[in-house]
Amino acid sequence: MNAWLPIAVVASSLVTGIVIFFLPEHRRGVRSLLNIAGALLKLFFVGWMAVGMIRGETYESRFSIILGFDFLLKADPLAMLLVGLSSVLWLLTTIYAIGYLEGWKNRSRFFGFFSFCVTASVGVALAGNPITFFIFYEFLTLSTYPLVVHRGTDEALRAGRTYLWYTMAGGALVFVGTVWLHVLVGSVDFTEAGVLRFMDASLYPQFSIIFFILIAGLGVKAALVPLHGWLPVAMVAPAPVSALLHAVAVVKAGAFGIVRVVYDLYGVAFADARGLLTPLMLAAGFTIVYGSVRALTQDDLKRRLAFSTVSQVSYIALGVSMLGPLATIGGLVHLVHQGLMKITLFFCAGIFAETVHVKKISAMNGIGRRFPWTMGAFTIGALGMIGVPPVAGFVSKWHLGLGALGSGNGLVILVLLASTALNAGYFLPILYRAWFRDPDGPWDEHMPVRRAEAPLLLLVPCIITAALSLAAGLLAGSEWSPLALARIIASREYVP
Amino acid sequence: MSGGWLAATILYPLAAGVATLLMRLPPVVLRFAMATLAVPAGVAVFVDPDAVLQADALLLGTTLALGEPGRIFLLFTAGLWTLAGLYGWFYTRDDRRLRGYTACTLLSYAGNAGLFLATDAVMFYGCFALMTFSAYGLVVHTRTPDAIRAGRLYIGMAVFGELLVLSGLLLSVHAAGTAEISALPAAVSASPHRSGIIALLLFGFGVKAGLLPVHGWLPLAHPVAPTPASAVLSGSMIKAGLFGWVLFLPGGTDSFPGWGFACLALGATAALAAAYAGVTQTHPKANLAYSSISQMGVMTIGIGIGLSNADAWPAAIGLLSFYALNHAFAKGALFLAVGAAHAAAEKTARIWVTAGSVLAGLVIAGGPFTGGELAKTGLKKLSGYAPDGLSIVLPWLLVISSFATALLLSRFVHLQWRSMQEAHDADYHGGAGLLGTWTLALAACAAVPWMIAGLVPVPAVFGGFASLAGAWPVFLGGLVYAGAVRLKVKPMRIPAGDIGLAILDASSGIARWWTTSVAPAMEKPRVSVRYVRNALIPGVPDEGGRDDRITRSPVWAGVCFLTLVVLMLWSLGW
Amino acid sequence: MDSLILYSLAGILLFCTGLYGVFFIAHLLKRLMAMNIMAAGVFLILIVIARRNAEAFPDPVPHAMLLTGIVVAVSATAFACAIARRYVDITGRTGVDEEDAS
Repeated sequence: MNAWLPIAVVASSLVTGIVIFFLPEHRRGVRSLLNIAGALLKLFFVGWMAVGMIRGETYESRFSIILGFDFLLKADPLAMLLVGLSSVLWLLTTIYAIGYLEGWKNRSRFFGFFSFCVTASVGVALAGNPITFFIFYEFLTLSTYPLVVHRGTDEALRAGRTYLWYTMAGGALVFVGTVWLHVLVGSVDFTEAGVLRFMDASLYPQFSIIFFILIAGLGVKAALVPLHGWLPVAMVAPAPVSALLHAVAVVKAGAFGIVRVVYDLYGVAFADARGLLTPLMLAAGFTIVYGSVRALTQDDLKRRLAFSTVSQVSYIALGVSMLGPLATIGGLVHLVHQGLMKITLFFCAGIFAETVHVKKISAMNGIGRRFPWTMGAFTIGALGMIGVPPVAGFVSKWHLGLGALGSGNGLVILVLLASTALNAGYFLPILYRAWFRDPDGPWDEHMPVRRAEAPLLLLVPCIITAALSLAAGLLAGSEWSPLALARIIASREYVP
Repeated sequence: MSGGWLAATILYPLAAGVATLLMRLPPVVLRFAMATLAVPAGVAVFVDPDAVLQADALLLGTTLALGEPGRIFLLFTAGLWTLAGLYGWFYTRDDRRLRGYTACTLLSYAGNAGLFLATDAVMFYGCFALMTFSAYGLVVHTRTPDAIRAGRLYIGMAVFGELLVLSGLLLSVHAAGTAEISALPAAVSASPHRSGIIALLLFGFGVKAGLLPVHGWLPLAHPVAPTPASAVLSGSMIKAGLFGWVLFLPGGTDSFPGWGFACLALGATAALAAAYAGVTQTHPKANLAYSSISQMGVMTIGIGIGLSNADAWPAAIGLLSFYALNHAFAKGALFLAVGAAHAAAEKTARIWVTAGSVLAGLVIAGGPFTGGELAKTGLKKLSGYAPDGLSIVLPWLLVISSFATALLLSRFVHLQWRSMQEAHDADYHGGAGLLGTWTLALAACAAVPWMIAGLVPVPAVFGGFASLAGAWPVFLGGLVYAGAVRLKVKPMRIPAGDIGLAILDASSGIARWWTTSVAPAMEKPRVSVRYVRNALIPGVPDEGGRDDRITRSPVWAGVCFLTLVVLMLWSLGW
Repeated sequence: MDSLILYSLAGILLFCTGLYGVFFIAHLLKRLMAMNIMAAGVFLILIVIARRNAEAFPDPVPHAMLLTGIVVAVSATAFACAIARRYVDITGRTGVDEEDAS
């Protein structure tokens, strides 16, 4: 059983996706049922895996593709962090997408690729060696492209083209790095505390070059400046796509890849000793500030959130690039926290766009009166992004700050402070407009009678993710919080 | 139940605030919530002050407990907010935005009270943030252009202050290895970065406390809020900054003569300059705002004495707790008097309001038989701890400050009187209920400090009564003001907000420059795929591309070709 | 060694020619032919790799990969032809417009 569970987790959405492709367009009920059933099944398997891991079981699926190349799916605490996030958010986003795409065309096509995308996401998380990681990484690119261009308009096609350019180039770099590494040291698995430090010292210079190639390739998806260009452009996709993919799945795959490379391939102490971490820290720091600065002047809500994503995902890279358990914890836990908060914000943006066709911030005056619950969720997400306790973002920033001091990089705190100030600068005006101004836009300011403020399928996932963001911070001290899991992962990384 | 009242202190107003936001509650319920919000806190202070509540799952693991200075701070905070809530019952009669007002009040109070219960830096910072952000709603409640402007400055400086505090806390926690507040001061004084940490904490909390030069938001924000909100802003939220100093500054573990002197200088400047600025104001609330800055300046002098001499720190804390308590109730009574003036329709009411204003003013300035006098004589005694040169100057400084305060508050009474003379029928609202609750506040400011005096832990600092003659600076101030009015002296006017206005203008200018010059340049994509292609294939017209262009010059193909040749040759061993 | 250089240069030339054609030719069928030219270039290079060591027998693995590659190229070309036919049926155009999609 143990060998099949990781496969089952990946397959639960792959099979669902294939079946959905063949469904006729008008079979809405069956399609929705399949979607939700697939999501619940995946969640069930993930839960089973989590419980088993607490009891000390190991879950590993290994197949030999060719001699020397293994296809490996392995569940370790780091994988569980991303798998758990992906599964929970996929369920919520599926519900949201069903509600959002009501009346759109080509929904079977959409949900088919949607399922493939989650398959790829989960595969990226569970991948146990660089080869498997690369397979799912490229699969992710290919399965997200149709979602980006779903609308079929010229603008969407152009955005899709830009998206492909960037991600294909990134994928090529990851390919080169992976193959080169394989040529040097043979097939290596991701191992806690790194595996390359045991290799022959004459290879170290080549390891350094490979590191930068891999980081550059992964950095495209992780939106490190200047490789971030695809992200704001891809906002032309429908809101569920922006929410799950470009705020959670795709960028997390890139960031997760960086985490895997630094922690489980090179080992953070080894990488630090070879001087590989400082350039990463500089790139991450620059991205954090640059993304926030660009976000300040965007009027389109989704574009502002896109640049905010560019900025926030680099917190993970920042945490990874500093030596010390607190920095590690900060970076890892932000993987989860940023996903929760960002998806809340994108859900809200989608609700505004779908119900009253409000896409610009300048049209959002007084929208809090019309959408109190939605705007409340947005407020929680925004405050979390700024780093106001007790929402989850504060916990990440606190650990990153302490980690920066602990690793001797005190100046990084300036980056964190600047980012906090800039985040306040572009989120607080939105909150001000929504709550403290009177409605004056071309939308109907009256709440619907005897119905909820927005379709429940859209509203409920939004509120749930907001509540989760709040709980992840408020109850961060409990044993079941993302913080506790991050602490476990960090404790295994720093082997004396 | 041990700890239950501690939890209720925060949870009751917090839950009520959230319920206000989520549900449509009748106005009576909202007003009742605002009036009773501090009841659990009162119970916690009197009934079960030594309770401890551990919550390992909360934030990063917190414990709630009431420490010694925290008890007094919580006491006057609870008291003042209750008085403001009772007053607000009548003040908000015609308010159309009662729901927002109630929610902001309840949440802000939850943060304000929670501060005093925190034993670790994370919980403290969380409550501080809750209080600060919720109070924004109070500042902009009236939605006038002045209020919006003041709110912008308020939130901008608040975020700035929070960033400084956060840096200071991170450095302190890093030095101590734990977030427990009790361990932080010792670790800070042992740390090599202690000057930086002290600076960050001093100015970070100083934004809240109205320390020069980061006080700019205060004279703009306090006047524009509704009257009960102004009372708590000036009365207890300012003291949160003071409490931050008390908890986190390392005064008790080592002597910092340099920082002590800096505090003394800043405090003295604030005490005198703010008093002058306040005298020249025409709006009574602006006058009172400057009075708050001035009084906080005096309290900063106390902090300075404590910093410069480690032995003085416990005495300083005890005295400042009492000073803060006295000031809170008195300032509250003064602010509420502004509203009471608008409810005083008949002559007896007007005389009552004027007399009450004079009484409250005397309490602050240190008139005879007031809590203020106890505080001021205590401060005089404390200045004995200061380094030699200063311990001679300080008592005189305090005398001058008393005089200046008296001048300032005489101006306030004058402004009150004038506003009552010039009021028309339409201005009156609130009526008897307003006057009644205001009288309650007045009684509190006169009586409570006396009742608490024994509870302050270092009674040795108290001087007890000076004689009536000891209050001569106060009387002199009143006389000089009366004389100045008679002689029609016209001092140089300082606009309410001084530095704050300059900051607002500067920030608007920067924002305008950024959005018009820098941002559009960043939006234009300088390099794109099409740009690259056009650059490498010169002369290609932008038409529909249905013909093949294989006859054009393949520059990039040549580059690719050469690269591949080089790579291949290298791999073949050349 | 000399002949190896010649073969690899030829392979590179073919590859680059095909690559250029794939990107810049609008007509679908011509694009397909350019892809096949690219494939031919890659095959030549594989042959060179098989002969990289100056021994009697060439390395059989690149030969096997080459043969597999020929088969894959044939089937991929067939598939691409089918897609191109469908594209012509639906849109009536024989090429892909590149200028307005940058």
